[in-house]
Amino acid sequence: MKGKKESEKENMKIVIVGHVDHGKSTLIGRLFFDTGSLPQGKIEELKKTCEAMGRPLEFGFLMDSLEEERDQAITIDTTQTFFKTGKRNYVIIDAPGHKEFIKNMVTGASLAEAAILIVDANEGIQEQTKRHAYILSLLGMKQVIVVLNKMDLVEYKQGRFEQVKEEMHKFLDKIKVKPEFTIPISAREGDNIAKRSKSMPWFKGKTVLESLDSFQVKKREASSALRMPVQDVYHIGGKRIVAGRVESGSISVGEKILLLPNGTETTVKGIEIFLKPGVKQAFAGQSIGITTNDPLFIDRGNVVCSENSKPSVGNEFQANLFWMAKQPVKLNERLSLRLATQRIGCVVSSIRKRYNSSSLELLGENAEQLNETEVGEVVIKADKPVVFDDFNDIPETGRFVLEKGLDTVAGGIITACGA
Amino acid sequence: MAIIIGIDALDPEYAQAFNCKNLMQAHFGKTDISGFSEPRTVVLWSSFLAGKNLEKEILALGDREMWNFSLKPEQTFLAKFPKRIVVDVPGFAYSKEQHLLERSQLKKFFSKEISVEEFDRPILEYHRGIKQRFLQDLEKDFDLLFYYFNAADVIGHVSFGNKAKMRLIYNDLDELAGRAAAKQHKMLILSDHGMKAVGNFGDHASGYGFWSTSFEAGLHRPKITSLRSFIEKEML
Repeated sequence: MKGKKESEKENMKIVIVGHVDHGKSTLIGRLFFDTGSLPQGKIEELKKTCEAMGRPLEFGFLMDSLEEERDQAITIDTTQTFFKTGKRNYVIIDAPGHKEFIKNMVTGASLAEAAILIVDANEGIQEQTKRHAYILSLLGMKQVIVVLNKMDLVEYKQGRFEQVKEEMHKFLDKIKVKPEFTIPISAREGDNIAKRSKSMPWFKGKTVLESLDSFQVKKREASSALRMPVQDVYHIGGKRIVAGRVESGSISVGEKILLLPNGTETTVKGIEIFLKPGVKQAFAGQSIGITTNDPLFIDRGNVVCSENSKPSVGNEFQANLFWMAKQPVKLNERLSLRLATQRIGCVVSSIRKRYNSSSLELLGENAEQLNETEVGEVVIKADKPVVFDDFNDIPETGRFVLEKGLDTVAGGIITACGA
Repeated sequence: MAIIIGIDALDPEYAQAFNCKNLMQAHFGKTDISGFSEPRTVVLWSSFLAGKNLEKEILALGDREMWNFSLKPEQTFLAKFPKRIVVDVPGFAYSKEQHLLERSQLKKFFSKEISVEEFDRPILEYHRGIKQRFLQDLEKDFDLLFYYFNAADVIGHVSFGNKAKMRLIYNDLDELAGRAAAKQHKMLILSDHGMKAVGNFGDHASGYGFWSTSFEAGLHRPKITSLRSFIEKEML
């Protein structure tokens, strides 16, 4: 594909969610195939195998070829899978299930900037579709494409597309997800993925690749408030370097900063970025180290903030919680709160309302427990002060996961400070 | 009415990794073939049919002749099924011609006379043909339908490390098992041994094979030789 030079291209992280049988792997395989991002020899071999077996080429299986390439190319980051358009490189974040997705998104291990929600046009919307849509809402995903897949199975009928689209939009409206595009596709046949479908001349909108290309990569929001959760503190060459990722805003040499929760103030003496000397300013998304003018008592979990726009610090906050574990959570059961790099013991001290995450039906008030896949309006009470923001102000420090032992059991967003 | 699908080298790990629900059926697990010095196809299928370890007897025939080894129905559980259809099963009704072709193909491939695609083509075409026959026979009146498929083994020897291709083969076998399951007869799916990747190639895995049943069978890790009495008791 023609377009920008490789060196000028930006990366965008995307995630594909939806019911497990609605064609996620096939869509991924098709995206890679249509953008020429697959190892050519392997495709030819697979094509010939399919021909000899009298089967069509199974795009869902192409991912296996990619995995093998990645396994063999040890220098490549094995967690990232790229496909390219003329405009940019896309990284598909692997989200085999909603637990992994929530955990990765909330802990910042892999923050998707756009999402594709896939629905089987033949089978229609399933509970899992709604749950995944709810997770997109929970995580504040703004750039969303809904694809109605397997249009070939419904004879490419516009009526069926409009019917499922209306039903999907009705649900998405309720959870405040506004998809920018809704596209009828057949991942298996390649309709409306990279090329406009000849079987659906009634559809005048963008293809999946055109829609993705119209999205924006996450901007360096220098104007928003600084939040840099501390990952670790290193002593290198006589310097004490505070390492972390700028999650929001920017940080500059000479700037006055505040360390929370203890409230110490200091100024930034230097910014260290690996192999980049002389950096004076760093932005959201960059992993950096800073040195300060005063010696500080600082540790993993502290948050570096701007002095003039402080986050909340407190033991209690209100949240919307998506419970994922098979075992329900009971009031005051011991859990761990993980918010950015903070990990603190906590309990769910109140469950004010509980909802079915698929139907959004109110299931009860002042409940004693929250069951698997239910959403609750809850109060979290932590053992020590937590540094946090309202999710609507700064999502990066307004979302969290709860863990029980080694398992991630819930994901949530903070809606208000205090109980 | 009962169905046995014999699949050479169907590996339990791949069956699970590729989510082959029809191959795994309601209950599945590994068989025990630790009583055999090596996982040899004719030895294992013959021992399964006879319900006893025939390794010594068959190995005495030599490498070439062992493929001519053939049991009589009365030496096996097949005698209990008078209206049986048994196709291609080593040790009973194996297509010698096809086996010779496969050996010749392997020889040509490893001496670099043919490409992997040239190697695969006749194997997959044969598989396609026998699958078609199986689907036709499925509609017939029988008390036992027993078919053997070896594409997972022969293709696996050259391409077991090629997951995309192996997923295709497993998926095809899974579809076939799904068609058979729809008949709602008692069904046993069995492999003689597993397979392990050696680079892109594959070699027989020792110690275990694969079993699955459509019904609660109480099987845990059965010896392949114990399945004769199981079939006679549970599938007649």
